[in-house]
Amino acid sequence: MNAQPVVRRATWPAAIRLPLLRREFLYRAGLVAIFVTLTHQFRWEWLRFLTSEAILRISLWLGMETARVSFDTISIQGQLFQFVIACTFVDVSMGSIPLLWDLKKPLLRNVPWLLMIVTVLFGFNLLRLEIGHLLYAHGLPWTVADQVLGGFAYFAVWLFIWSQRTWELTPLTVTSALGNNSVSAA
Amino acid sequence: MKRTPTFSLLAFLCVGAGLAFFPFMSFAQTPGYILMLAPPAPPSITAPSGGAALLTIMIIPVNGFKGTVSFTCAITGGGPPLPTCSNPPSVNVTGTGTFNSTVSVTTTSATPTATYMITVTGKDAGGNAPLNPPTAMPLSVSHQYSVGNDGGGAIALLTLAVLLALWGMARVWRSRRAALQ
Repeated sequence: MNAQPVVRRATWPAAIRLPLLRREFLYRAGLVAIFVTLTHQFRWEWLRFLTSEAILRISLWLGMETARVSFDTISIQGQLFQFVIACTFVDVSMGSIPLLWDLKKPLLRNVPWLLMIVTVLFGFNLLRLEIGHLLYAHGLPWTVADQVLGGFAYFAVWLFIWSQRTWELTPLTVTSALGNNSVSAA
Repeated sequence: MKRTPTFSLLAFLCVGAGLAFFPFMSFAQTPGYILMLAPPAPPSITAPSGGAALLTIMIIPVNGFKGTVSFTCAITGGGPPLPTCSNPPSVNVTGTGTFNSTVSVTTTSATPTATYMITVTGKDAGGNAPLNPPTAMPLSVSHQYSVGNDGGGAIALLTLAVLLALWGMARVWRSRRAALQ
């Protein structure tokens, strides 16, 4: 395709104009905010216990000294760790639903697919938490071992959502000089 | 006079008792004081949310000791930065009974998880140390982290925002380049 698109030549980075966001994406993003806010209205004590228990057992299996202090607090190598809602990834899982829901599929096909993703996310969360604990045990600051790693984990989830999306982020299409060819920016 | 075994035994016991009580008899005649340290309250600190523990210093005068006793506090164990001691106020012993002072031990978020030994030594106006050896009390310091939150959630979101910005810019740039070719 040798068509010349009708766009002004851009130079990095100042001349690049950010594209507008598609309305469908904005609706879904709004639902994400609502879902995450609603998720944080509950205490999720059973899930906090389940997550902390899983981490406790994995850490024990890896040879670390562990003990349970309360339903959401465990001790690893003499250090106390309290598991709050964000560490269960339940907000990430709930927030993923509006972005992963396929409007072209019926409810009965969406639900099993989303349940499977929630389960995978739970496992992925355990993996990143345990890696964080291992890094912390080897001397990395907690901010890096938990928080920065958490940011990378969120980004990994976003990349997965992006790969599975059934929507477009932006409506931007660059019309070619020939009229029929177009290049999608999304 | 023939000495009976009973007399010998009694003499032995008297001499033995005298020798045994001699140090205490001389000790009892010297005015002095005993310094005792109560266990810290609370016995453990969760840094940084915990903060400080309080220890009571007790001075018990012996044989009419009177005067001012000043204190110094030292902390050992763990790793730097060590918890810090407040300057314990000196006590003025004016009679019998127990005279108390307090010392507080403060931790920061940087205080490593460990058990620290807090030792308080005393000195009266004449520079005399307590009659008893220095006593030390343990204080355990631990940290409790909230996994995934505790104000650090902002750092995770900031990391995500930076990654998303880089990713987004890379995508826009790539699509523009593709469009220009």
